[in-house]
Parts: sequence; structure tokens; C-alpha cells
Amino acid sequence: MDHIEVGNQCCSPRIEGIQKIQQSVRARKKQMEVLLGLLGEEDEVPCDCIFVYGHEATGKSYLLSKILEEFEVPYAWINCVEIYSQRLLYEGILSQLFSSTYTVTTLRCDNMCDFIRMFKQEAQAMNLKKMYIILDNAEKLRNFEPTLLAALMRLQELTRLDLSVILISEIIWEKFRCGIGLCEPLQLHFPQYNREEVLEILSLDCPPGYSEEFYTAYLRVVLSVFYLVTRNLRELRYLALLNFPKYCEPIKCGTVSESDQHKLWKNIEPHLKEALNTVYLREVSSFQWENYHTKDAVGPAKKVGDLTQSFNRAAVELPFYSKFLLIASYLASYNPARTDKKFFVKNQGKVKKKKINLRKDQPKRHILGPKPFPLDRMMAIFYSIVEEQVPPTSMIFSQITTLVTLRLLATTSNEEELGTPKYKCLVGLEFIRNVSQTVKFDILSYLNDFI
Amino acid sequence: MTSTISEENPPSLSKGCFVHRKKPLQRTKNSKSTSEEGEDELWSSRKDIYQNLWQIIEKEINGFQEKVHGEALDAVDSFVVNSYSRSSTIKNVIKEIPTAALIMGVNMPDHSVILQLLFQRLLHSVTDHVVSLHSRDCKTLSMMIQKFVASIMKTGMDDFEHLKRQDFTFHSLSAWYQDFYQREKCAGKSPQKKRKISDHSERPHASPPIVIFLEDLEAFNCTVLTDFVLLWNCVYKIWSQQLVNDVGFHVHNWLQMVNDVGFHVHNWLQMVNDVGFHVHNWLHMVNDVGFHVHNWLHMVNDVGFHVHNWLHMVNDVGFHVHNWLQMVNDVGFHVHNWLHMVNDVGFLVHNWLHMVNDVGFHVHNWLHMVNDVGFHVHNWLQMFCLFEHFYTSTTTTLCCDLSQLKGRIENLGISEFTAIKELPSFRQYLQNCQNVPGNNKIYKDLVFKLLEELHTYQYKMFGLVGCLHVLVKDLPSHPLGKQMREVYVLALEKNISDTQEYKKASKIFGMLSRNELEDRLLSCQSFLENNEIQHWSQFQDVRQKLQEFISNLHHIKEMADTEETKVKQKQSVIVDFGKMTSRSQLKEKLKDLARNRKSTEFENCRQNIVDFFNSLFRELVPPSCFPLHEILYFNYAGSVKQHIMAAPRSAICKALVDPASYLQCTCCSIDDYSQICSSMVDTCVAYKLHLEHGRLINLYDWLQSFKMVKMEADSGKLTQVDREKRKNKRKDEPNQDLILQYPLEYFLTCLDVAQFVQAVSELQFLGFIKPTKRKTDHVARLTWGTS
Repeated sequence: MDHIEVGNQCCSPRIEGIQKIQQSVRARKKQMEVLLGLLGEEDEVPCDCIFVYGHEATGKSYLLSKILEEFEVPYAWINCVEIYSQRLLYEGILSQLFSSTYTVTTLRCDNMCDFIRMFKQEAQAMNLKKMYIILDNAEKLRNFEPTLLAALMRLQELTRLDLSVILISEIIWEKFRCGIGLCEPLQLHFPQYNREEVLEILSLDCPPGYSEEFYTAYLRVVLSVFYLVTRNLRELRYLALLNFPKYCEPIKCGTVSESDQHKLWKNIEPHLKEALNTVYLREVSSFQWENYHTKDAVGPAKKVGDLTQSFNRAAVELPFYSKFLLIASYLASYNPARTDKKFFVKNQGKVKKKKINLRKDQPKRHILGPKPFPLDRMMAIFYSIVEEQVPPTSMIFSQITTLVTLRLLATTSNEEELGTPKYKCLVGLEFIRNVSQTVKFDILSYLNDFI
Repeated sequence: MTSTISEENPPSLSKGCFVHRKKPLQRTKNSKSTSEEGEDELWSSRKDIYQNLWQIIEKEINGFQEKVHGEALDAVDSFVVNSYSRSSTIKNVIKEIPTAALIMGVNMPDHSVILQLLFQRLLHSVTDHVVSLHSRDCKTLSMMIQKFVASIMKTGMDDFEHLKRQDFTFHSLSAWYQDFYQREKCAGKSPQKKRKISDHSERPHASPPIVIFLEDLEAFNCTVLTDFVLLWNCVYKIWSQQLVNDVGFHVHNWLQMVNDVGFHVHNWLQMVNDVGFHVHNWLHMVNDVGFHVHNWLHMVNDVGFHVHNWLHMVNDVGFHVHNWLQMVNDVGFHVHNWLHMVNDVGFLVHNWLHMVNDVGFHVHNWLHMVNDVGFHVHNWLQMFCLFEHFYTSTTTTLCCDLSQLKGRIENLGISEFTAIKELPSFRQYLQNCQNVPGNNKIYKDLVFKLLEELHTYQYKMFGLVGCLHVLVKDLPSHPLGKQMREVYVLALEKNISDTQEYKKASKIFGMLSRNELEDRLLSCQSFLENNEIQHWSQFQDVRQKLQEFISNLHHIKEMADTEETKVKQKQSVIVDFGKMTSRSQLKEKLKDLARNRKSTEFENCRQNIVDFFNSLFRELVPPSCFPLHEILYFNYAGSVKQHIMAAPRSAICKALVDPASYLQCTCCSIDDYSQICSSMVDTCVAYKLHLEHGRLINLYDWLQSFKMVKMEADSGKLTQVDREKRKNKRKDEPNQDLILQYPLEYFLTCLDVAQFVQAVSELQFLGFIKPTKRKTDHVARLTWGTS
């Protein structure tokens, strides 16, 4: 802290910059000060490696980018999601830092050695003093060989330049450790925003035409519903914006005044509750949500639930025999093989009344999950549950393959074992009940667990 | 023993199999006497008719397909356009990659066709940058990106060939895109770009979106797809930021679930979850990225493109009698017992049965065929039937419009005429006929008369079928089905008024209320008036009668309205029950009352209507009752079956048992299937020998008999018994001596072994045997019962 204060005294543009940043980045004052200290001033050597972590949507990348933009230092910003080969990383850094010499098409650099050589050469040629390399989503770097990360973190040492590598990640540093040559970076944690901070940030979104007070009041309503479920700023922001037109609807119609909080709350509450069910899922896109609201204003309401339910209905759309195959596979997966006789043999003869020693501690099959079964068993069950005569043609068998591609079934045997393939049914009880309803098959009476 | 090496028969490791084109079988079903040239001539004339006919039908079908697809394509089109031109406050803050899922039925044969249409359309009307990615090209992220970027940049890149695979990255893409459109904007007058410019000027945006199709989404690797979407998101944000002022660039991610899916991404996720993938991550990502599955279903409601619709289309195109009506008017061709045939063939039994339910179509064995042929199922089948109809019988020359009929009959050749005389239906007719016509002239007149009758009956039949359909389509429990084709099929098969279904329908019809009855009559009336049927004079009476009934009903209604008040005043009838002593007496009494109850005016009228329709539909007899129906109707289910149901297994078996039938060589011809020639292909020999074994086959024994067959080149055909004899004889011969004395013999033995091993492995490949661990040096037999 002392250090920054010293800085404050000596250069006023810096203070201005800091103030500017503070205005645009809310609730991150402490983190900003630490970062500024670590990045160093013009004549100072920056910290060689900084590790910034915190949950998503806590302003890590945003704050950093603001600082870098404000002070106009040379930097390379790499989003590691894009890095599916090391070459992209090296070339990305080089082309961003030395854009005058390198363009995307002329650059060739695919190993660390070349990278450092070219980096040094160019930095000297351009006489760059201080540089920053920011690696966003740094956890993706763990997919490469461990030496890459180690080398990146020691880049200052390797190039002997005043450069700083900043890793941004959502996971903690301990997960990065793999034992080879990693130096411990300076860690900076971004905690989650608290409720007041969230409110402050969200109120920046206030749409034109409405007073900030009004919008804040609305945000309070939104937070009261959603804050228990999610504290993710991005999600909250999305929800707030999505539902705002609905909130304003009565005002537009002229039935309610802007100050009548209670009536507005009454109006919006059911909609927010509905949205609560689909937080994070975004089964419905914003486009549809808007459509849904506009239609809502005109005609009778169509529930969001309907929208999502229609998905499930779509899921059952399988060919006729595929449905039976799926049911057969489900039965084979969840019934023990010894009970097949009980369920599927029409004329069982005399059933000896054995003492059923049901061990009470024996868990139900549905709790244990699906068991693999051989194809023959499934086909036997299939033929007994399908009422018509079905020739065992390739059509039927290729439908099994289709079911596997649809991930309704999974193969559990080796691919080499062509003779006796084994499968496992992956669908849940609710799903299979829907399916069996469409073919008028009462599945529950065939399941051992429910008898 | 003599050497088997000769000039003609050099031993080779494997005997090649050469394909000989089979001589075309002469289809002289009905005209054995005619010479080949005459046959050809006749065929060429029929071919013309066939081609004309097919052109008409094809045009019709294509029209329907365009109509049906058009709706879906329009919706997709507007989605693409809207999603990047949509201005919304939310959109500025939250950047969603517009995504739509196109759900198509499971195992539908026409995915690729529809996609291709869609592709072309987007390419034509919206953007130059449409990419279609298959899961098979996208095993890893880098492959996916390379494929994607390369196919985007291919358009309008001059030095495309110089680029290497590694150059295709998102960075190069974004650089290229900016460059491409900047250049175009600034100095777009260069001659190469002119065409593009003019194209774009019609388009709403200066920079068109990039549209990505992900075909068979469910087959994509989950992690690859996740990364790809995340990557898009990065690019999307940057690009839209960079370019928003200038050109308004928008990226479009068009997710397509072509699959054999029927699935929603949501469910897909669930599945993924079950499989044990890290679904949390994925959801997280989905969320983060703003990757939205635009609810296609929602769209579907508007668009109406769905599996159902496809089925509907099938109805429309193939079977909707309506269209047949129209077509038939022009051409007079009928596929008789179409569906029945299909049922016979057995390839789509369940389709037809369950199409009515909301089931996808599974046409597995079709898939291949259809893709090859490039037609839709029905197209293909229709075409086939049509072709077969014209090709197989010479009589079909007369299958034409009534106006041309007279001339054609006059020009009939002798052979054709005899063929007509030999038609079973005609012969039967002649037998029943009192005075058999004497000369050809009278014959011709008779044929013309009969055909004319048949044509007239057709019109009548279509009208009647239509009427019946309109009347019964929404009866409770649908005794005669919901679709017109169901009625049509029934009518083609048998006398419809005798069927159980019809009786049931008629019974229900007799119990309808006045309003329902009136509605049906009105719709029937409008059916008769709206169609071409209104020109047909046969329905004049029917229309009059209908009008009469309707006015009657109206009258009754008015009567009822006025009388309502009177009825109220009327006292309820008091029934004198007298002295009831038992329950049975009461029952009898009530029955009596019910019997004697005077039927109302409405009931009388209804009875009249039912009677009228019963008598009307009694005229609806199958066309097969008419003489000469073979000329206009096609009814060879067998031949269709033969051509459609490929039976590879039996073909293989036949080839192995009797290779001469395919190779058409004289050396291998056999009288009995159990005979083996040494000249046969090795695999055949091995196969025939293996048929003589039990479940487990001793390889050594097998080899010995194989050798025996091969050695006995001179003795030609051997049966099993012969070989047994020789084998026993040969057992005494010492093997060692053989090697020393006859080095050539030894060489041949080795060659035999090699041939044998190859033959065995081929049999294993064909699935006749498999190695077993039960016994050493044995293989297990997998098939039974072939000879």
C-alpha cells in the first residue's frame, strides 16, 4: 500500500487513471490496488508471475483489462480456450506484442525455444521495456505438457526482460501443481460480490428512460427472488434484463404508477417464480422469452413449462419398434435375469410357492443403476412384449445401433466381441414411462422393483 | 497321378472371380411367339408412354415436396435473418450465439436431401458462408476448426491453395473476414468481385453471417463440441466488438440435429449425464457462453415441419387419392393394391400401421437404396411400379387417355392383341359371355367398350371413395381410418360395403345427431362441388339427393324449433304398468314400449340417409372385378418384393453353392447342389465341404477333402460318397515318399494348403464359420439348413 501512495504523490496521470478505473470497475478497489502494486510503475520491475483466481463473473478479466488499457502498456491477451496447440499460444503472443513485424500469416513459431529467441530478439529491436502476458482461463494450459506452464511462469527469468505473466483462472493454484519446475506465483483472490455490490453493479445497466431509483427498486425485487439460488453476476444480470420489460408493462399500460412498488411486485412475482425454475438452464433463449412475453400480453399465457415440456415430448419421438426395443432394454437392465420367466413366459406351469427369502437389506435395482445385459436377452424380451410378429431383420438390429448413437443405450462389451454384444440402458424411469405410455405398455407391472 | 498344371488352368493362389454381365432375360410373359425385334419395337412405344407418364407424376411429386419443404425452409431462413438483424436491448448486453436445433425424425431417409435444400437456399438468399460439419470430420478440436475455417475461407480467396492446414485458425479467419469485407467495401469494383457485390446489394446486410450446420449432433464428441462453442464465444465477443460500428458483423451458430435424432439438446445433455460425462461443466459452459438452443419445436408449431409432416407429405404425395385423382384423370394409370403390396412386401408393415400414430419412419434398408437412386421412397417405388407395369406386359399400350384409346386399339399388332385376349380377366369375361365375338373387328369394339367402362368406373370410384372418406373420417373410433388412402386401399381390395369396418361405420353413422349429420352432408356436398368431380355426370343424382336430405334436415330443425314449445306443454305419456308381479314382466313391458315407440321424423330421415348411402356405396366394387383391369392396374406385389427386398444372404449362398449360375461358365455346371467340381472357386469348394460337417469342423479333415477335390481335376464332379471312398483308399499312401518322389506334387500340396487357408478365412469373413476355443484345430459352423 505504501508503494502506491508513493506513486500517488509522484505522478498525477496515474492518479487520474486510477480514478477512472475505479469509476468503471465497482467494488474491486482492494484488488485493484494490489494489482497495481504488483504490476509496478514505469521504472520498476514487475512481479514475474501473478495468479489471479476467483469464481466466474467476479471481475477478474474485466479489472485487468481496464488497468492495462488505461495505462497503455504493451500486453498480449491470450484466451487459453483458443489454444488447442502450443503454436497458437506462441504466435498469438508474438503477433500481439510485436504486431509491426509479425502478422498472423507470416509467423512460424511452434516451440518454446524459438519463442524465447524470437521474443528476445524482437523486444530488443523494438526497445520494449515492460510487457505483460495475460493468460485467461489458464486452467486449460494444464492439458499441455507440464513444462509449458513452468516455462511460461519463468518467462522473466528465461528472457531476462521486464515482463510479467498473469494467469487468470477459476480454480485454485493447488490444482495446477504437478511437480515439475513450477515456481509459486503471487496469488490474488477475487472474492464473490456481496449483495450490495451486486446491486451497485447491476444498477449500471439501467435502461434509458427509467430513473436509476426505479431500476434499483426492480433489482431489489429480482435479487430477493434469485439471490438465494445464484450469486453469479452474469446470470443475475441476464435475468434482470430479461424480465424488466415485463416489470414495466403495467406502467406502459398506464394502470400502475412508477412509485407503486407493491402492485408492480404483485405483477412480476409469478413470472420471476417461473423463471426461477430455469435459472442457468436457459432452455429458452432470450428471443423466445421475449416472444413469450409479447404473446402473453395479447393472448392467454403459455407457460414456460409448456415450452420446456415440449422438449420432453420430442424426446420420445422414436420409431415404433425402437420404443419397444428401448423398453425391452430397460427391462433387461433393471430386472434380474431370473425373473424373466415370471414376467415374460406366458404359460409358466405351476409356480411352486417357494419361501421367498427377501433379504431386506438387498437394495432395489433402481437404486443400483442399470446392469449390462446380453443382446439375446433383450431380443427375447422384445419379442415377448411386442404383440405382433416381427421378423428379425436387419432393420430391427440397426435400430439398436441407432439407439446407441442416441445414447439411450450404451455398449458395455468390447468392440471385438461381435458374437455376444452387451448393452446397458441409460434412460431413467420417468423417460421410459413416457415412452411406454405412447405405445400403451404398462411398464411398471413388468418391473421387479415395483412388484 | 498326373500333373494338373496345364496351359488352360494355371494354378493360382486364389482364383479370381470375374463378373459377367448376364444376358438380359427375356420378359416374354405374354408374347412368346413374337420375335425379338418386334418386342423391342413394342417396348419402345410403351417406353414413350411410360416416360410421359412418369414426367407428369414426377412433376406432381416435386411440387408437393417443394411445398412441404418450403415452409420449413422459409422458417429457417427467417430465423437466420431475424436473429442477426434483431435489435434488442438485451442483445446488446448479453451476447447469445443464435442457435437453432432442427429436429428430424429418427431414421428418416431424406435428411441429406432436406439439408442440401436448406444449404442451397441459405447460400442463395442469406449468406455465402455456410458450412456443414459432420462428426466424422471433427474427431478433435483442431480437425474441426481446420475443416470449418478452410471451408469458409474457400469462398473468394485467391491464394487459397498456398495455405497449409495449420494456417486455418480462428485468427486467420477473423483476419480474412475483416479483410474480405473491408476490401470489398472500399474497392469493390474489381472484376472478380463484381458478381459478389451485386449479390450483396440485394441482401440486407453488408456482412453476412456465418452459418454452421452441425449434422448428426449427437455423434459429436462432447468435449470437442464444448470447446468449439467456447471458442466461438470468444471470437463472437471480439468480433462483434470490433466490427459493430463498421459492418455489424454477427456470427451465427446454427446447430443442427439432423441425426437420427428426434432429440433435443436438453435431453442430449441428460443422456450425457447418464453416460457419466461431466455434465456440470457443460451446463456451466452453456450458460457462460450464451449458447442457446433455440427452441426449434416452438418454431415447428408455426412452421409445421416435423416428422408428422413428413408423413403427411408422404400421404400427400404418394397416397393422397386426391392427387391420384388428378393424375389419373390425365393418365389413367393405377397402382393397384399399392399399400397392400407394400404390406405384403413387409418392409414397411409397421410404418404403415403406425404412421398414423406419431411414429418416425424407419426405412433402414431403404436408406441405402434410396440414397443411391436419389429418390424418395415413394418416388422410387412409384417409378418402379410404373416401369414394371409398362415393361412386363405388352397390353399396356392401351394404358392411355380415353381420347387416344380408339386410335391405339386400331393400331394394335397381332401379338398385342393375342396378349389382350389372354388376359385372365378378359378370358373369364368371354366365358361368361353369351355370344363370343367372331372376328377381330368385333373384338376391338368390345375391348374399347370395356375399357371405356373401366375408365368411367374409375371416375365414379374416386368420387365415391372421396364421399365415403368425407363422411367417415371423423367418426368416433375411426372404423375406416382417418386418411383417404385407407378407404381407398380397402376399396381396391374388396367390396367395401361387405367389410366389417364399413358395417361398423354405417352403424355409427346411423346414430349421429342431427347437427353432426348435417355437417357431414354439407362437407360431402362441398367435396362433390369443389372438385373436378362436379363435371362428372354420374354424381348429378347424388348431389340432388344430398341437397334434398339437407333441406329435409333443415326443415326438421325448424319444425323442432317451433314444436319445442308444444312439446313442453304436452304431458308426458303415462304408461299403464298394470299389475307387475315380477322383474321379468317389467322388462318385457319396457322392451315392448321401446319397440312400439314411434320413430320421430328425424329418425326416419336419418334412416333414409343411411339407406341411401348404403346403396350408393354398394356400387363401390374393386376394379379387379372388371374385365381388362390388368391393363390399367398394376398388381404384381411379387416382382416389387423381389426387387426391393434385397436378399444378400441368399445371393451369397447361391453363388457359393452354384457358382455357374453367376459365372455362367460351362465347366462348373452341376446337376445336383451337393456336387463339387474342382474347377469351382476355392471358396465354393470349401463352402460346399463345410456343409457336410457338423457343428464343429476339424480343419485337418476339411483340408484333406479340399485337397482331394482339387487333385481330382480330371474326374470332374464328385459327390460325397465318391470322395469318402477315395479318401479311404488314399490313407494308405505314405506322405513322405510323396515329397521325395514327386517334388511337383509337394509343391501343389503347399499351394492347396494356401488356397484352403484363404478360402477358410473368406468363409469366416462371410460369417459362415468362426474360430472356437472349445477344441484345438476346429472351427465352429454358424449357419444351418442350407444345401
